[in-house]
Order: sequence, then C-alpha cells, then structure tokens
Amino acid sequence: MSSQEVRTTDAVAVRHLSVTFAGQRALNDVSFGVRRGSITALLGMNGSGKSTLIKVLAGIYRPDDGSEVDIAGEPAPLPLTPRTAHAGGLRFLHQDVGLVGDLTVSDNFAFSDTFRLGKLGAIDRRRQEDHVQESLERFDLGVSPRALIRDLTPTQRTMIGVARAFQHDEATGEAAFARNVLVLDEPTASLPAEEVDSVLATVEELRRQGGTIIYVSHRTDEVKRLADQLVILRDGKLVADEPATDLTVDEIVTRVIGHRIERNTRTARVTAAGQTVVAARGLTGNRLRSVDIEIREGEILGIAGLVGCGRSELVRILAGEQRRASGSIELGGRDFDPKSPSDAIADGVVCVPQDRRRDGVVLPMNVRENLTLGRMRGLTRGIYLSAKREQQRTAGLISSFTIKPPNPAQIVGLLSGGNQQKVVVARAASQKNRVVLLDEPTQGVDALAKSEIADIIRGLAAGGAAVLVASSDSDELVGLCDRVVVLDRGHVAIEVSGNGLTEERLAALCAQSSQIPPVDPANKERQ
Amino acid sequence: MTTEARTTRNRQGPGGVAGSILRRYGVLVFLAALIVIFSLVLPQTFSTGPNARAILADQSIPVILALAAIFPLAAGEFDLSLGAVLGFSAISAITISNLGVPAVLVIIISILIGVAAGAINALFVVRVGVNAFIATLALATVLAGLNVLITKSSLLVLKDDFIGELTKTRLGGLQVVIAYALVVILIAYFVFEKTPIGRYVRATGMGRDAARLSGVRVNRYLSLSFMVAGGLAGFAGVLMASRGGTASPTLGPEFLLPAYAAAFLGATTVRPGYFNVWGTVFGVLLLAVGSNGLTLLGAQTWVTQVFNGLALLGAVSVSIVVGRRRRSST
Repeated sequence: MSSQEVRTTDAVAVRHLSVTFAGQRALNDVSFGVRRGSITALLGMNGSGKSTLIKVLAGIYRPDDGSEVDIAGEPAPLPLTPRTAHAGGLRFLHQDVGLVGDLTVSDNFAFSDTFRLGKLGAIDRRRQEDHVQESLERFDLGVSPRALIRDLTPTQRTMIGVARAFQHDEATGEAAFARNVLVLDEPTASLPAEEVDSVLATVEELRRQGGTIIYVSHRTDEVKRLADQLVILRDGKLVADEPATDLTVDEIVTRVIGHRIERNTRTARVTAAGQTVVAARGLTGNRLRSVDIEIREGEILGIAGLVGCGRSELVRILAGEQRRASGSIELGGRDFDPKSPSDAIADGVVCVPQDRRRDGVVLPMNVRENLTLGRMRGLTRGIYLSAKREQQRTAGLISSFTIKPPNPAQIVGLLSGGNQQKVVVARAASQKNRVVLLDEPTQGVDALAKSEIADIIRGLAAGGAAVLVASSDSDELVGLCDRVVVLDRGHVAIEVSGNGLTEERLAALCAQSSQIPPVDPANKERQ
Repeated sequence: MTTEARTTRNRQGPGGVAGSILRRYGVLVFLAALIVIFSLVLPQTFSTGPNARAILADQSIPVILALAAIFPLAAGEFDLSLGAVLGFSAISAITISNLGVPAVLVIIISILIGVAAGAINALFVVRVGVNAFIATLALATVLAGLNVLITKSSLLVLKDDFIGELTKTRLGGLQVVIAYALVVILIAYFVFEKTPIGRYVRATGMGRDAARLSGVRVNRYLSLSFMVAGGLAGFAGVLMASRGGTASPTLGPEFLLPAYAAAFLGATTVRPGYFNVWGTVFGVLLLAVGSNGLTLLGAQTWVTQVFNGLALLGAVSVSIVVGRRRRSST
C-alpha cells in the first residue's frame, strides 16, 4: 500500500521517506499524499514516527537520502528548513499554539506573515487590523484584532492559531486557502470537553472553504468525525492510508495498536488486600473533576488517559506540589493536606515527577548530591554533614539501583535519561515511604532501563508502599499495575483490573472509542 | 534572570592534566604570575612585607562583602543592595557609637541592621515574587537616600574610639581585621561545603524545581541566603566605620561591583561552575594584587579599572569557552 500513485492534486506528498537517528529507523520508507481541500488524519502511538514525520515537514529533522517531499506538486529541496517550509505554505499549530500572550491578536498575525506597513516603514495599524479582521470574520470569531491573547480562552487561542495560519499573504496577495497546509497537532488535547466541538466546527469550516489540513490526534471519535483520509503509522512504517469511511473505529484502533500477540507477561501478584493507605474523595483541581481514588498497601494503581486528562495534576496534588480546589484526601485514615512537597515527604509521600530534567534532577550537580537532596536526615551530626555517611548511603543506592556509571562524582546532566531517572527513583526510595507517586516513570528511557525501573517499582510495592503510576504508555500500565483508572478530561471514566486489563482495551478506552473491545467472556471485570 | 555560575566542571577534559589544572586553578595561576611579574619589576616596592600586609588588611572588608554576595548568587539570585547595606551599617554604627552606645552593642546592632535588610529583600523576592534584581536595587536606592538623611549630607566622623578599638589591635604585626576576615572565610567555607545548608542553597540556585520537589524548602533557603548576605554586609559596614573612622553620605555602592567581580571570578576556579568560598577569596586577591601592582607602577586610576573589568571578562570567558569545548567533545 505504500507504493500508491501520488496524485497530481496533492498539496503535500512524501515518497520513500525514511529518517534514521543513530542507527535507529524512526521512519521507514513512508509514502502518502495529502489531497488539497481535505482533512487527513495522522494516527499512531507514541514512538510510531508521527512526530518525526511532522518535524521533517517543519524543517527540524533531516530525512535520509532517497526520501522525497513534494509541495504543491513540485519536488522540494531536502532537507526542508523552517523557512522553506513556511514559504511552501506549510503551517504548524502545536498544542501550546505559539502565540505571544502579552501582545494583540493583530500583532500575532503579523509574526507568521508580516506587518502591513505604511509610509516610512511604520506599521499601518488600520490596514493591519482590517486584514486581521477579515481573517477572523471568515471563521466567525467574535474577537477583536486588538484583544490581548492572554485575555482569550484556550479554545479561542486555538482558533486564532488556525485563522492565523490561513491569512492571505501580504507579498503575493495569494489566497491562503488555496495554498496553505495546516498541521494541527492534538489541538483539542488540553481543551475542556464542552469547547472541543467549536474547534472541530472551525476545522470543518476550514475544509468547506478549501483549506487543507493534516490532523494529528489520539482521539478516534474526533478523527472519525473529521477526517477524509486516514494515515496510520506504527513502528515507523505506514500501516494504513485509506478513506476514513472504509474503516470502523475498531479497525482504526487495531491498526494503531497492532496485533501484538506478545501480551505483557504479568506475574499475577496476589493483591494481599492491604489496608487502604490513600483515599481521595471528590478531588477537584484545574482539570480534575471530583475524582475518587483509593490506593492500598502493596498495590500498584495505574492512572491512564490522554494528554490533558488530569493524570499529572492528580500526582501533583497528592505530592503536595499543587493545592486542590476541593475534595479531601486521607492518608492512613488521617486528613492529608500537604502545603508543599516537603510536607508530603515528611508524611512519607514521595513523588517521581514527569519532567525529569527540570523537576527530577539538578543537572549541574553530581550523582551523590542529587541522591541525598532533601534526604539529609541520618547523614548529619548536628549541623555537620558527614561526608563518610553520605558516601556510604550513595554507594549503596548506586549499586542497588544499578546506576551507571557507578561514579558518585558524575555530573547528573551527563548521564543517560534512564540513569537520570534511576537517580530520581533511588532518591525517592532512599527512605521508608508509605506512598510512592510516579508520573511517566519510563518516558524517554531505553528498553533495558525501562525494565529495571519496572522491577524497582514492583519492589517498592512488595515492600509495602502504596504505589501510583501515571502513564500514557498502556504497555507499561498493563505490565505493572494491579488496577488501572482511566481518566477522561478530569473525570474517572472507568476502572479496569484483572484479566480485563489488556493493552488493546486500555488503549481503546483512552482513545474513547464508543465501542470498547469486548472482554474475553471468561474474564470478569471488577468495577 | 539567572545567576548560573556554570562555566566549567571538574571533570578532566581533552586538555589533559595541564589543561585541567589551568581550568581549575586558572585564577590562582594568574594570581601567581602577577605576583612574580610585579616582584621582578618592582622589587623595592611591591615584594615587601609591609605592602603584602597592607594588601591583606585592605582586602579584608571587601572579602567579607564578596562572601556575602555568593550566598544569594549560589541560591540563584542577585542581591544588589549589599553595597548600600554596608554603607548604611557603617553610618548607623558611627551614629549610635557617637551616642555613647558600647562597642559590642554597636556591632550587634549593625549586623542586625544587615539581617533586617536581607529580610526585607527576602520578603519582596520570596513572598511577593518581585524580581530580585529590582527588589534589591530598590532597597539599595532607599538606603542610599536614608544615608543622606542620617548624615545630613556631610561627612560623619567617629567621635570616641569605642568601636575604633575593634580594628586597632595588632596580632604579630598583622592588623586584626585580617583575623576577622579569616574567621568569616572559615565559617562560610564550613557552611557551604560541610553542612546541608550549603548544599540546599546551591540546589536552590541550580535546579529550584527539582530541589523543591525533592523536599528542599527552597523559599526558606533563599530567604536565609539574603539574610546571611545582609548580616555579613552589616558586619563589613561596622568594620569599615571602625577602620576608617569616618563615613561619607555616599559610602557603600562603590564596593558592590568589585564584590561581584570576585564572586564570578571565584566561580571559575577551585570548584569550577560553583560559587565557592576559596575561589572568591582568590578572586578578591587577584583583583587587589593587580590594582596594587599597577598603582605602584605609576598607572593612573583608569588603568586599574580597565584591568579589573578585563580580568573579570577574560577569566569568565575563558572558562566558558573551555567548558563548552569540553562538553561538545563528550
């Protein structure tokens, strides 16, 4: 299916596109075309090559020799640069939308094209605002060109981003709809559910006016509604390039996940019905809406859900990094309301944060200094920090958590991602804890370190800690967890456990497909 | 705004042993070279006991102020009020001493004035969230104004020698102020290198989010570093009043930039990439020896200033370039 004939009407076409990083094929001989005036959905799991493909188009990654990219039917010189991509009409709208908050809508429009100038090169405010107003009206956005971006809602910002990508070109006066291709990267991921519809309507309106869109999303329901054509990547290869009407939701999910027979070998741990350690009731934050969660002693609870579902917020609230808006948390039967991470740690609640390089380790410090950060109790005599005791503890942690190289003086910033993560986990586990919270514990970590970290997490639970793992990796959750709670836009959507806990089912639940793949009748589900 | 001192790291790079020594002890090597050169050129004036003792005594108070500066710097923030705090403390010390207050009390009050100034900085930077650059600059401006008010725009002279005694004593031919500086150096070294406080202050500067999430009370350490800095500047002020016996209404701010120059020079040496106590001490000495030698050579004031500026720019640039080359080859 990859040898499909590229149509002459394609706005963008890639042929035999391969990208190799350090000997690893991120994209492998991918060919497909994006028809002008249509919505092409690009689907795939993390690591499927989706974002690599987009970054080639954006001029960030260099494709391998032999790859070809056509823009508007013309072969484009490779590699593309951000400049040539922009000149070719390619526009990108990332999740953060890329607008400058303190400036006006009108100014932000100019950054992606140019200011309309008057005499002496001064900005012709009237002409600029008229131009922006015209673009805004085409999308029926009731926003003034003079409005400040920061005063707008996230949804309005997304739509401003879309409108900006399709403004008419100042230099050529070319109508943008006929030329530009907009790549929308998960535009609805962090938007409230009730506003998603208006964004989808905007995208549909765009197509009606002749615009071309590449729509990247995890949500099968959105894709099913919007897309004309589906392009699915898996492990760097093209696995589907078909009209959206030809595939059912189930088929889409199956293609995205693939028939991975190698079910994760999960040692059916007997969940010794330990006592409830954490009981959260009606937890509400910025994203979370009235979430109830319980974690028992020795149990590993997974938290699944798409980007923006509130996974990380749940971890932050429990870890004392963010105050909850309402709801209650009990820790071992007593009210738990930490005002800071150090309060939570004092109560035996430790956290392995998601952003390892920013929140996990102090990059310029060495392994020893990072391992004992915030954990100096037992290392001091009065005010004096005993270098000997610190060395001893550090050496012990390095060997039991197999941190490589086993050098306590190694600067953490120079370790591999997996070993940095082991440092964070080792620090969290270096003292007796009641609750261990981990947010994306194996993101960006190689396979070996991944399995080592998984073993460490199992060890923590076996030692009696209540463990919570928030992850976007279904494979990881299935391999680790006793139960998994799926969050959807801040609400608990469903809880799965036992034999109902399979990778396909979890991925499907996260993708919010209307039809959940049936559970094997032999298996029971606990709700 | 960041006060990242990251220049090089103490890892052996492609430069080999010699390169590694030069990288770690560049400031010291430069200092030694200056001493050798000036000794050869000026055997009569530079390389004499009295001159060496004078340099050490004259630099004792600047060293204390430079050490004050490295506390907030290590915690990731600038404190631009330290020069003004020194001036305010000196002027206050003379004023209250002239009222007949005993010397011990004058010293304590001066230090407390500095600590209070640090607490005000901490209040605005840590609690309110004002950028430290702005908050401390504002306090410096306020204190400069108060100095003019207290002195009524004229030179303040110490009447009785209550606090003058503080710096009059000599220990085996050396001025006692050198001993004060040495005690401050040793205590600062102990706190920075041998206690959790020093570690946590640094973690606050090098990775505040990670430190906070690891359970370090970063706000507490940031506040503490402002207050320690203020207290040391206050102490430097009372020593200044005692040693000089006078205080002009504009005393203080001129000491700020040399202190920062020494601190940044210090961060390139001994423990490269870290603001550190001994590095800062050598930084102060390097600048002092340079200007002393040049003055004895008959250079005009502007030469000394140009030297100070170039030495700072040169030392920090060299260590960044060396560090970058090493990092890109890993």
